[in-house]
Amino acid sequence: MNSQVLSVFDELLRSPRAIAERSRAGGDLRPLFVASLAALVLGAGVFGATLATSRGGLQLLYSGVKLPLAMVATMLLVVPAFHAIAAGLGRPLSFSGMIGLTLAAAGRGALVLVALSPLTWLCFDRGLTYHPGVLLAVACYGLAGVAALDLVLKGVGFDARGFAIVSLFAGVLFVTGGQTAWMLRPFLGRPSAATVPFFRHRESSFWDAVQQSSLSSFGVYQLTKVEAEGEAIRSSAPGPRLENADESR
Amino acid sequence: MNLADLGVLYGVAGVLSGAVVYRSRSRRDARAVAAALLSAPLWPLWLPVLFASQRAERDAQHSAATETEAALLEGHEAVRNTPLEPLLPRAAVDRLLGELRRATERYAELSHLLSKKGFDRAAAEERLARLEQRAASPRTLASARLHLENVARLQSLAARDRRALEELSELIAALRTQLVFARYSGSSPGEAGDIVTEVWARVEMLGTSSDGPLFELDSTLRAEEYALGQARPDSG
Repeated sequence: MNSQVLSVFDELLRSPRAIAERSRAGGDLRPLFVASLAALVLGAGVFGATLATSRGGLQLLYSGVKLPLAMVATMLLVVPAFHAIAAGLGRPLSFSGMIGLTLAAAGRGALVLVALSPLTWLCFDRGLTYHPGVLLAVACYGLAGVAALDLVLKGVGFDARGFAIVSLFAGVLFVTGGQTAWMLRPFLGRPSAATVPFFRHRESSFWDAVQQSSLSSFGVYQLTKVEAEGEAIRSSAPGPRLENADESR
Repeated sequence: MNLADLGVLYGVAGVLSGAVVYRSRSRRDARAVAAALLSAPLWPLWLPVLFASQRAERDAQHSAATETEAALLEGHEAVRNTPLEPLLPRAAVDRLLGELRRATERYAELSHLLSKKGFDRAAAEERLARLEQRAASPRTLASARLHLENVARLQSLAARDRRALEELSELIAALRTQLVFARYSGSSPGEAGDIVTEVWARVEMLGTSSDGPLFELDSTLRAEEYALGQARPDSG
């Protein structure tokens, strides 16, 4: 089985069509499952740790663990939805085939993240600040997502119906993955924090964060009620201020 | 129900899934442990893949046998009511089919037997090593060695049967195409005749290995080995 797993690893990068065919055909999908899971965990782990280089220390370990966790949790949540969407739109695949396809797509996306890790690391090393860093990470996720959805599209069929299925699935994936990752943050780490938490307290939602980050990257800062209270206390205290000192993604 | 409750339920389901997967494996080896460990956190994804793969394996075994039978029947159909029919007459096909089914069933039985816990070679080796380590009595050691050797013999029998069936399957597929070719090209059936001869030879070999009184042989061996164990100088 080990040689099969290695060959699937190779196919994930070189022949997405073969992977899609394999998923559609069904049969023994264990090597595909194991290889895809390994690619997902390793790829997301490396990229997570790369994102944390802006903060360093324990955050490297935490992000390296949490990003794969976020991706696997997302897979657990979206596969049944994907199966339902495809079946509802007239492209039923076996459930195991659907799992193989989705996991392979996620593994491929994670491998793309690995490929983007050196560039991301370089940008942080050259002094990329916090919000542009968040946007860079989002752009990397976007690219990885395109590579992953390309594989899914090959699996469900490259036609109008296939596009409709993949578009709906992408919508589910975006919301579910975003919220899952949001619950597991921080990945980059709070620049001013003395300690690194494994999880942040639950506050707002993924959608609020998208809005806030977009505005902040253009220099428009909105404060939540809690942050506003903190700001009021700090503004009365002496000492230097750091840009975006209280935010973390 | 909050997120923590859901997490606990998910974890309980994961532990149960892991236990079911481990217990359902015919061999309790490292692979079984790995499959169980993968089931615990990822049961909603892993279990469907695992069960579908196991089903596909069973189907593949079954269809291999039926494919060979179909090839044989197609070969006969190709020569029926032609001057080539004596090469593969219906009576011969029926006998070949009978032998094939017998050999396939025997292989399936052997495979099933070997998948049972009591026939696990690794476990038998481990048990023998453990007995040797704790300096068990020579009689106990002789019995454990005999058990291990019997398991090894059964494994080699199963491997030989599998190989023979695979070879026969390929040969019958070649015979079918050769007969079809001879029929449509009008060429000499010489080569097809050679293949038929070879098929019969293989079937005779299958018959030989099938006819062997496996368990009588084992009991004879057991007695001999046991006697040897008693006769060994270190047996006390």
